[in-house]
Amino acid sequence: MAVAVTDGGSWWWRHRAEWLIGLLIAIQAVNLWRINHRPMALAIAHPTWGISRTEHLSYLPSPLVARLLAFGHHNTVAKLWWIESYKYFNHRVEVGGDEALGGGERGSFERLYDALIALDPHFVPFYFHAAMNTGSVADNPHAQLRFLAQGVHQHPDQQELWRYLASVLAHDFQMEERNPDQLLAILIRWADVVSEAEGEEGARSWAQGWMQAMARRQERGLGQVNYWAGILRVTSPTSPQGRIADRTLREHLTRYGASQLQALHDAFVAHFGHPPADISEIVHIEALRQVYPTPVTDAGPEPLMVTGTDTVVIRHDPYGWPYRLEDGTVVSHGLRLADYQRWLRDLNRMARELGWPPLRSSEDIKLWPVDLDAAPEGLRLLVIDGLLAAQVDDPPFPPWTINDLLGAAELHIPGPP
Amino acid sequence: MIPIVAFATWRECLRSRSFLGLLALFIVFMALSRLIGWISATDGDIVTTDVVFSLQSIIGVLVAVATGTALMHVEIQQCTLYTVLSRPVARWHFVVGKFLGLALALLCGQLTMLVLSLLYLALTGATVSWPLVLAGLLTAQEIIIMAAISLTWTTLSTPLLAAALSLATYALGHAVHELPSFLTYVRASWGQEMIAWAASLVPNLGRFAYRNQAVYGQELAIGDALQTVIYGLLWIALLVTITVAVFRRRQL
Amino acid sequence: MHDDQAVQPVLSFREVSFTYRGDWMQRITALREVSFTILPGQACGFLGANGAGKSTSIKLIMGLLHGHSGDIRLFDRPIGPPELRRTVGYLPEQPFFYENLSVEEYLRYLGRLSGLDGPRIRSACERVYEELDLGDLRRRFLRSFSKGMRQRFGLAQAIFAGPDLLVLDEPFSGLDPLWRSRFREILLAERSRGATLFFSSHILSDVEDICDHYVIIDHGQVLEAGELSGLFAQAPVQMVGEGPAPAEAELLSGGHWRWIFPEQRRTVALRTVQECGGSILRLERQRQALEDYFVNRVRSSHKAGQALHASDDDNGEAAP
Repeated sequence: MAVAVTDGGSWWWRHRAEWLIGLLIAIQAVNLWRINHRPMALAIAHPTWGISRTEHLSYLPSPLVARLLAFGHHNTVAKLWWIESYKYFNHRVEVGGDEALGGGERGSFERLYDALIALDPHFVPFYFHAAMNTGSVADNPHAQLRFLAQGVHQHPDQQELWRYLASVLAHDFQMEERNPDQLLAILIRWADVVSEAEGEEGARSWAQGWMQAMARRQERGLGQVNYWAGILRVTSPTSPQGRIADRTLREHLTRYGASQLQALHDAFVAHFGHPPADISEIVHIEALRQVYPTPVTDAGPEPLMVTGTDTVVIRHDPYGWPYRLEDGTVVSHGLRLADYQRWLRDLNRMARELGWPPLRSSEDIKLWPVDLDAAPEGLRLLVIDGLLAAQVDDPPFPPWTINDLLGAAELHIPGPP
Repeated sequence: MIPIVAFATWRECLRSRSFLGLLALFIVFMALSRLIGWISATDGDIVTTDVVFSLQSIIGVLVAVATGTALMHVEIQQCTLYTVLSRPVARWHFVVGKFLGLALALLCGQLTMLVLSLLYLALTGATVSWPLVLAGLLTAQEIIIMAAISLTWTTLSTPLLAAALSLATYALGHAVHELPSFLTYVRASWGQEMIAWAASLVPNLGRFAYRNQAVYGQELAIGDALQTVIYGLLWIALLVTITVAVFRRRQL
Repeated sequence: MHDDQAVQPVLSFREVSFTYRGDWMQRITALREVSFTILPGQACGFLGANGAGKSTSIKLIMGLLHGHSGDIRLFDRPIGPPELRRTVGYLPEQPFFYENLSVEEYLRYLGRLSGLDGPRIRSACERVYEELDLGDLRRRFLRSFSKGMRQRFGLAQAIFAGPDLLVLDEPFSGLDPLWRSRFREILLAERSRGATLFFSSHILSDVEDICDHYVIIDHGQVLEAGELSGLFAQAPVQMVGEGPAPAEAELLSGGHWRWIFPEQRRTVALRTVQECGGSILRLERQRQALEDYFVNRVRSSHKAGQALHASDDDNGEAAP
């Protein structure tokens, strides 16, 4: 017995260094836990901690600490954290917004992707996901722009990143209207940095497409439909990115429809020598033969459709309003309403940026140094929070469902004229 | 004498259960790594490649630390070295032979893992390229440095403490690679110099983590690769020299 | 022990002291001015209680410990150069071996370290397989060996290269009686081959059977060294007789008596029996076990040590 006691004591004493190290590690682990930088959180699956972790990404360290904790396995750690963040992403898609626990003013998505990109700057999907989540989910276009700029800087050969960047600049920041020269410079930069001939060609054609887009008030074709359809396919239609794509597609389809109907009208006038009494008259076999030498598709981007009785009729515009014939010109009332609303948004932005006085009623518009165009039919001006707003009547027909259209549009979309 | 000791050590290491067990563990994890690639949905091949190459490194480090610390501990604790050192074998011959045998065994393990990794990646449709081969070889050198570190710590302390210190050195070795970023947080220039000086006492293991770039097919310039290899060899030589110096004075 | 200048000693300790650091870094003396000499062909038993300093001395010989004072010589050269150990065979106490090497691989490995070439290694292997019944075990890994088997392999590797000096630390430990007997035979064979033996053992009867010299060490100091024959010569003489008994004799049944006296009194005793008219039936040297002698010697040393300790605390300590 005495021997056993002696041996036990000496064993503890012999391993004193190990115990000391173990104690230090335990203390350090508690400290790490307390300061919310929890590298072990990734490895520990605890039901209650799991909720906190996935809903707030609160375990995320700063980019530098993340690199220190990766111990040379930056890529793998980044991918595992990325996979771990899927739950947070799903959660945020449901509830919207972005938590900012542990990251100061920056949202968790920003902190997440800053850490992931610091760990693995070569992985292109990080930039796409960062842009999509900060832009579409968290509604933070500035963070979105930052990640995309980082992406094209790190991966100048990635056409998709350039495309994404250009679309964000054009649509979220209205660069084509507010600073077209700068947007053009960015597009030229894109064309310059891509190395492969094919990529360069792609960049140039896309840049030309954008130059066309900048002049799209005069454009009649559907050259951009495929691109925007692609965007719409990979995003939710209700997300900001999806709404941009939907709005742009609707606008393009309307202009295209109006231009096709205008061509029918002109063919009708040329054939009969007099203008039609009603817009429905332009759907005449002689006019159709000239404008549509090939059969019209049953569905798709065309402003015409074939009824059950094999009669070709004019569809309402993509906004749900009938096309109108005004002084020999085919116009879309839906597009007119949309243009007016866009003009109101630009006006409000200008008022904010230039510090124009807030409005108390629509009569106060004279306080602003602009001439307000008369509101189109079916639209009433309101004042909300000192700015102009529009109340629009519901269209007489349901607007086109662009997603439904795209399935058919893929089958037959005429190229640009 | 050195080659004789090295050969016996190599054979002993290759047959050790911890070595073979961890190699088996690598094969199991490697097979499971595809799951992570599938979960990631996007660029699953890259994710799988990352995980497989990390596994090669992590399991290699575990093998190096486990075998490296056990090697000398068993020799000293169980006195197996008595029968060797009672022959006309100088102590430095013994240490260098032991290290070379261990390094050779680890190299065999690493090459096996590398070949299995590349075969697995090729079978699963991922891209297999020369940069990946180079990355695997540099990882092997990192593992051999870890073996030298473990051997040094083992001659200075108990095996458990040596394993803890070896892993801490591994962490520090990768941390010093991030030093330029870290130094921006230190305002005083003397503080920066002190930290930079202290960091030079630890091998910069981040230099061997070329796997992070190789996965994306980024090529490493031959000059840089040679520089890294020579850097590693110098550290190995230094660590083995320290081990010899300590072991020569050690009472057995 | 010997001072024969004509023959070069195989092993000699001259005023060797050794200290080491304990758990609290205090200095502990393991050997204190130890001196003895072993000549070629001798078989010397190194005796001492646990912690007396036997293993420390042996480790110093084999170069496993260093930092001693005094002079240790192997083949009349100061220890240090590994080459000196080329013709030394060593069996450590409680030997352990690489677990994942087979008997054959291990012996080949050690043979190469000893500088043997292929044919000599093969013949040496065959020899030790036969002597220690290891032939059937030659392909077995040593991790599966029992303590006794390890001891057999330990002796095999020690005698493998045909050493001139065999240094054995507790060679009979963990052996059954059959293998103890076999070990004795092997060691005697080694001795008759010309090898010098130096070994420590707790089984003193084995030392008696094999050795011709002994060294007793206690608390790091040599208590006594010499020839075993000299030790036995000091054993008392027993005389058994009948008839009139001398006054100092012990009476036995049947009219017999027994008288035990020191060798120095043999002549006086014979005269006394003659004078008293008794007749001698048997006269023989009473066998004194080495073990009894060792125990008595060490005990008397301890008593002297305690007396010394009472006046002076600075005493020798146990070996590491």
